[in-house]
Amino acid sequence: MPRVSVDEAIRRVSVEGWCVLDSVIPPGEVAGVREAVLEVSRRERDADKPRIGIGGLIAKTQAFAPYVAEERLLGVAHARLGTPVRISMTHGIVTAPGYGRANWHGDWPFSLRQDQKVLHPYPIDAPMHITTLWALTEFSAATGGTAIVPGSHRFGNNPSGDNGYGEHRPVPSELQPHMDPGDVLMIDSRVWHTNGDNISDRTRVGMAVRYAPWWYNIHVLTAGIRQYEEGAAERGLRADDVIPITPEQFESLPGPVKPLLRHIVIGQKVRAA
Amino acid sequence: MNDSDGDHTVGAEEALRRVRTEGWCVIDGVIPPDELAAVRDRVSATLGGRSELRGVIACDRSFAAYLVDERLTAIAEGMFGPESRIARTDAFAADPGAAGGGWHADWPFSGEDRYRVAVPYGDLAMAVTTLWMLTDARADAGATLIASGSHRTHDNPAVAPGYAADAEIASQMLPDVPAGSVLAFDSRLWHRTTANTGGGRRLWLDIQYVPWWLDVTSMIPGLADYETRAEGLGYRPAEIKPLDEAAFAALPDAVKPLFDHLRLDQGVIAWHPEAPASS
Repeated sequence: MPRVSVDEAIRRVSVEGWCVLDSVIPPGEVAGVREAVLEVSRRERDADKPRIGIGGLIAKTQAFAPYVAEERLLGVAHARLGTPVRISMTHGIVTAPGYGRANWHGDWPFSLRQDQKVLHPYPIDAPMHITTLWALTEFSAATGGTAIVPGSHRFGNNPSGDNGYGEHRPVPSELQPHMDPGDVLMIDSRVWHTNGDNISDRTRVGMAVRYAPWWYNIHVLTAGIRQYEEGAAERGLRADDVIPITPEQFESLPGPVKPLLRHIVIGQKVRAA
Repeated sequence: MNDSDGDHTVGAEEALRRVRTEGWCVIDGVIPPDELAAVRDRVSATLGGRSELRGVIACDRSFAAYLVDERLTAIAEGMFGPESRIARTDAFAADPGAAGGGWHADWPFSGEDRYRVAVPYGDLAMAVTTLWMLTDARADAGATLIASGSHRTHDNPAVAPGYAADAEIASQMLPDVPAGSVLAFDSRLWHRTTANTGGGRRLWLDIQYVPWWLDVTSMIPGLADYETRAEGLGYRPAEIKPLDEAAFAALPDAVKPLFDHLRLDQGVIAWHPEAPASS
């Protein structure tokens, strides 16, 4: 597969809403990252479920940290979101053979199923969030790789609302890009997407890393910040999409990665002016 | 069409429609006439001899009760949905002879560092600015000029070439905003203050409503985005003053949710499935 350049990735994400970046994790290094994610998954409370979702992955393993500031990822993020950008969420996703297709959705804050969302219809020319889905094993039609609807970042809504499309029905223009281990699917978070059916006999292992502009309020996901604490009290659930990291974990991150995660370091407090 | 509610010239529905469509609206009588003098005197005393004071809500709550005027709330919720908040609360004075300013849009569409939305920006309303006139805004006393409809463009003269800061724009206008009334506009709207050529001191508040999803932490001391920004600037900006317990407790109950994010008693903690004992 030819290597996708930064400029081409920017153009594709802007126009088509998505792009596969090849070999963000070099082939010789993917196994180590995959094993680290699987090791974490075995300790999760959902370890015996067909889908294991790992929230706050960066607080549990930093094995993937060297790759999240790869030039094409940040090139697209800066071009689409401005500077500076931050990483809003890091998740691990492990799906067993037989795990079924989910529902079409845009990611937070574009899903109408979530408490915190932007009003629909949302603007077609204002990206707010970028989702990257990392293949640590093969993502394909057989393993239930991510399906997308190209161009849907400019539709202004998605099937999680009442837009006339069934959340669980195929869309004629959908695609299911093939990804080899180490490749990354980068999408505007408004793009309609879902996981496919894993009809293979292999466990699919991946990660989701999301990038946000400086002006997008990701502190609602951060323990200790009032918006998070009040939402958690209201819902009776302390979401673990973001797990703050210790100063020691922060210090161990590669230099270019630190600005992306400084906002979740434990101990920072609002101070008097 | 005017959907006046009887007490006011402009009702909630019309205020929202105008801000959405034209980019601005004058909300009359937000501070009742018989309460205006007390607010004006208090803010004037808080300002003292200064021409501006950022984060005034931390030390002056005289105007707090009016922040939830139903028309202002209708604009904020209609533009942004529930859980909108207040970012900036600034007080300004222009003494006789004070110069005017240049055309600009408000934060986050302008600013002196990289913490502003990149141009060309998308067609997304991210904040509503409200200018609370505590003295009459008239041409000779200094007022706010606006370029009606400019909120739908993708840049502004403060951050992009094209229009000079003091250009005369064909569609500019000077809304008549009597004391106690509020000029509300999409923060992207191009606007500028005129010189005070009259004989009196002009006094006003600048209060900005924002959606839950607009991050203001780049203006909140102690949090990483602010500290990173301050490092880059080489000084500690003071657009927002966090509220201590006493200042927050003194706010009317209906107003407290608008300022929860500015309270001092919060910071990033280790995640745990159980709530911390203090929350």
